[in-house]
Amino acid sequence: MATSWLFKFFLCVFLMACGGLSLASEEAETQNTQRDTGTGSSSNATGDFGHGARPITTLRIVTWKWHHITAPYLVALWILVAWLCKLIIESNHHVTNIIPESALLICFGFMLGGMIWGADKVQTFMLTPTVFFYFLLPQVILDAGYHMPNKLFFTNLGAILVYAVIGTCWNAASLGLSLWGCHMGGLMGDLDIGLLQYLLFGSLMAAVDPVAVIAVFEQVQVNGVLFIIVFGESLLNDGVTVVLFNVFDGFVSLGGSQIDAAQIVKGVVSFFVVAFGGSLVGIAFGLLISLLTRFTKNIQIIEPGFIFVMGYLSYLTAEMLSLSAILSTVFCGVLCQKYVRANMHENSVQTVKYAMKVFANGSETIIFVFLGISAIDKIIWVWNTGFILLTVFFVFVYRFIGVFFLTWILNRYRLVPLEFIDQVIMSYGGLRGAVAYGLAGMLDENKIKEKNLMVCTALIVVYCTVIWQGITMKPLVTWLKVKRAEVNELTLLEKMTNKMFNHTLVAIEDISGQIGHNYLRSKWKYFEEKWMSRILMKPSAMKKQDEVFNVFHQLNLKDAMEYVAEAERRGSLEFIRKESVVINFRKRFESEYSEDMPDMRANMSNGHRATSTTRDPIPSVSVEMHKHTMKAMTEAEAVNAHHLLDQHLYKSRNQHRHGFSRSDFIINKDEKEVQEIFKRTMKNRMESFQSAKMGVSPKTVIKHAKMEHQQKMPKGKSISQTKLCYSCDEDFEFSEGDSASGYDLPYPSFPMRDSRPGGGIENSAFVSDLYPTDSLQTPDWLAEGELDSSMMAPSLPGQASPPSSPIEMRRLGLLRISTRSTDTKQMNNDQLPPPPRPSPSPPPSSHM
Amino acid sequence: MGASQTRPEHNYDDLTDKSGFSQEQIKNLYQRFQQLSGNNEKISRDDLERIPALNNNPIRKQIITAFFDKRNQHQNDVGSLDEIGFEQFLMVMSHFRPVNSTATEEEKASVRKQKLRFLFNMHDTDNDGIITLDEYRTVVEELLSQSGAIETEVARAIADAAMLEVASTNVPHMAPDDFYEGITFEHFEQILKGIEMESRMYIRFLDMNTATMRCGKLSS
Repeated sequence: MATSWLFKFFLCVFLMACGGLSLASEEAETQNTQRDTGTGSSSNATGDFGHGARPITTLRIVTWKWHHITAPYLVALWILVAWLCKLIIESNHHVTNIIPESALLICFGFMLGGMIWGADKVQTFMLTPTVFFYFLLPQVILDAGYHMPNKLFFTNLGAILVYAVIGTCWNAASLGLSLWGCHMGGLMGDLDIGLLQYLLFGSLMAAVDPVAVIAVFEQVQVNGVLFIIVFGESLLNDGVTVVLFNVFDGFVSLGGSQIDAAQIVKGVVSFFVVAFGGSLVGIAFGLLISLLTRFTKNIQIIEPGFIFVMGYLSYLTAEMLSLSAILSTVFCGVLCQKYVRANMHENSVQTVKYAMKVFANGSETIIFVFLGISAIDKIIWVWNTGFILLTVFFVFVYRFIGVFFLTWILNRYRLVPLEFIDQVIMSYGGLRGAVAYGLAGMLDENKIKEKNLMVCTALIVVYCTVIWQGITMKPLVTWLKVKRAEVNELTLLEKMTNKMFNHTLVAIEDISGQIGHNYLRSKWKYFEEKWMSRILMKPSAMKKQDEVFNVFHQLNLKDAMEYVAEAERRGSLEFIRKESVVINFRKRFESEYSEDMPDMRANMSNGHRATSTTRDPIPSVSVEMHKHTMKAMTEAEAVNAHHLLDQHLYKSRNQHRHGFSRSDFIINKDEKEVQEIFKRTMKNRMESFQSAKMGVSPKTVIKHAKMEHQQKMPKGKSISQTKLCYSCDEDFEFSEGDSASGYDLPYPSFPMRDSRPGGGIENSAFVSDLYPTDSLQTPDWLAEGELDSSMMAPSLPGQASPPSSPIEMRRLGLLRISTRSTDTKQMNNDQLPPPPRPSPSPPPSSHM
Repeated sequence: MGASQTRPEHNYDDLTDKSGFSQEQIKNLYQRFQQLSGNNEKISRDDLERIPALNNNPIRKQIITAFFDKRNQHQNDVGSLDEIGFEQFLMVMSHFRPVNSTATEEEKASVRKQKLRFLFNMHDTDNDGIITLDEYRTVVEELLSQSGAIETEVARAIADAAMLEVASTNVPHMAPDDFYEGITFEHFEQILKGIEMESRMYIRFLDMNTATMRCGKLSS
């Protein structure tokens, strides 16, 4: 399974290469077939090597096999060149602040094209429609769909659809008709273009291009609604563009005389089929992906690849059925994102996210560079001043007219009307891009005599919009004082209140008997939670869905990280126990408990409180909490936390040893760590014990406990070693030097636990998490983590006995829990029942 | 429903001024009111609780209570009613009426404040002007009770954390012995100032009947 999957993954990677491959080969073809210019074979460097079969006279040690690898080599080289361009551009932010990256990339393309032209006297490389539509566009679209802000998208779906459908039709029709009108008026001189061909041209120029829009708007950072309307429009208008293009293409082939009402009706019907069919294909694939990721637990390494393969398949399937491929991929991404994120391991989610960005960003770069390169070609430059300038002018003007008119209608229905400034930006953001160029390239030269003029015009429009409007967009946004995107993290209270809002609105709609958005949304949500989630999501994943919970989790995490950072500054985590900052809160809470609701206090602790001296004070919920707290780790925090923890809590000596397994690349390391930590812990314990003996006065209770621990140690060790022996390929020497990892702290302070009984709040997991001071066990997980994880020793048996693989973050959770249990033991001198084991954590295969 | 004719037209004028709804909207809401109350003059808690669509709403209790809360009647009165007439019903509803596009910034701000006050009142059950931890917990527990994944303890912990967040933002330097009683309305407003309310706290009360509502879906 794994190998076959890997194969697919490589295939996927290879596809991009193949993209370029066909880029080159098709290039050769187009040149050979379409251009009888007789530039000679010298133009095509690919064809000339190794053709002649020379007789073998002697065995050659080194042979020059350029023709074997020409195509993939060129592809790889071009990708490299394009990315290097980006590297150069991005190295200087003074320039990119003024001129957007996309414009600069096109300019680089000009330069590269010029070089090729200078060398070959013909343009060997250009963006062909096949390469663009099959190998470059899908990633960008999939990325757009997968990272779509769903809520924003669906609340504005109505407006987006209006712009995408009516707006695009308007653009196409008005442009085509106006150009035709001007032609009739004699503004363009002698051109062999009929009305239908003008309409065809209009339809290919009509669509706002997603790639260009993303590239420009990403740097401008306008507010969410504005962005989603332009961006959503650019994605969804693909359905319209495809239909318009196909219909007019068909009409052109049929010839004007054969078009009757029936044909036009067919055209209208085909719009619905193409748009909805494409969306349905996408939804089907989205469901399939979600379902699939439910079962990929055991092949986590290749898990992320499914998203790419299936996403690509959804694109190709729609294309195969001549439906809208972009719509298909968008909806596939939109639908699956939630379930995929919930189902897959967080590392896979990260991988998907980054790989997606790599692909999308990479192919976006290539698209722009090649848009530039394509321009340097004598053949496509057919200049017709009237036609070109009028097109640029009409594209610009009709976009404004269309947007303003449609917004005027929409604003009568919108709760929050789009303001004048928004409309200006929306109109100005109507960028045309590679899609228009690609479609123009697909025109049939036999049917449309002026194809090259159209291609050339399309390119000029693209340059005008991307370069000129791209450059002026930012100053315009600043000048008009457009509301920018607000980057504010919602506080917990805000989240809660948001939730409150939503429920209240639904209730008011229910009570007033209206069927509004909120009503529909809540019904959908209910359905979604009840059915979709149940079918598509792992049962274990459903828990972390709640966004409130995520915020809560992030808060916890932030606190922990602040502690670590603070400790780093001070060189110790000691302060957590002493400082007053945290104590304040605790006191506040305590006082609230005691003053406001004494009865609550008893209730709260679920009976733990009464028995807290004899029973372990960690309520089961805390274990549970940690489990999904750790799972709910999201994105950047996860990475940050990993780094922080990696750096500060533990530094493995053997970190750079590489395993050989392709599928288990974490386990080894983990267990090595466990063992190493264990060793260090032993040492620490020994030392602290010695220092205690030397009269630095830890409490006797603790001392005893320590002795006991030491006696227990070997047992724990043996368990762990037998359990984990399959990973024992490592040799660990135990040396003094590396154990302290730079945080040598005064040991005497470590055993001196403040054994004051924890405040009145035993039960709530969060109190102990957030305020380590208050239930005294908690600081230790941090403090001791810093102190070379002294407490890992007792936790080792705990980790080893249920087969668990401590993932870095999750280990922290285990660590916390087990720490407490240790301390409990220490405090109560082993009169306690065994500490709670971390509830069965994922089997060892669930590595990073 | 013929019952609407029993209500003389001039009464509507009255209500239009008070609540800001249009005649048509009031007529619709009145029909709904009659439907809910079973053609009675007054509506009771039970009537509202019987609405089937409300069953899935986790904070149903709070919302229904809000309808009977005198504080939400735009009068400086406190306490709670057992049943409310149409006028009161309308006054509560009017909290969720979108502002006119012609409204000035000040008007918008005051409307916003009013809405926040409505929410605040839903939290502050004992009307002492402060959301205590206890009160807040109750709401949060109810709010999260529906998603079965979050246990009560967790909900409680979340409430605590939220409360603490408010405390730490509003009273940054608290002496160890200080006591944070709860969120006052000012704090509440302060904390929620980042929330985008314009599109959220409103409900489209269309002039049309619900049968024609579907066109609203497309348009926003």
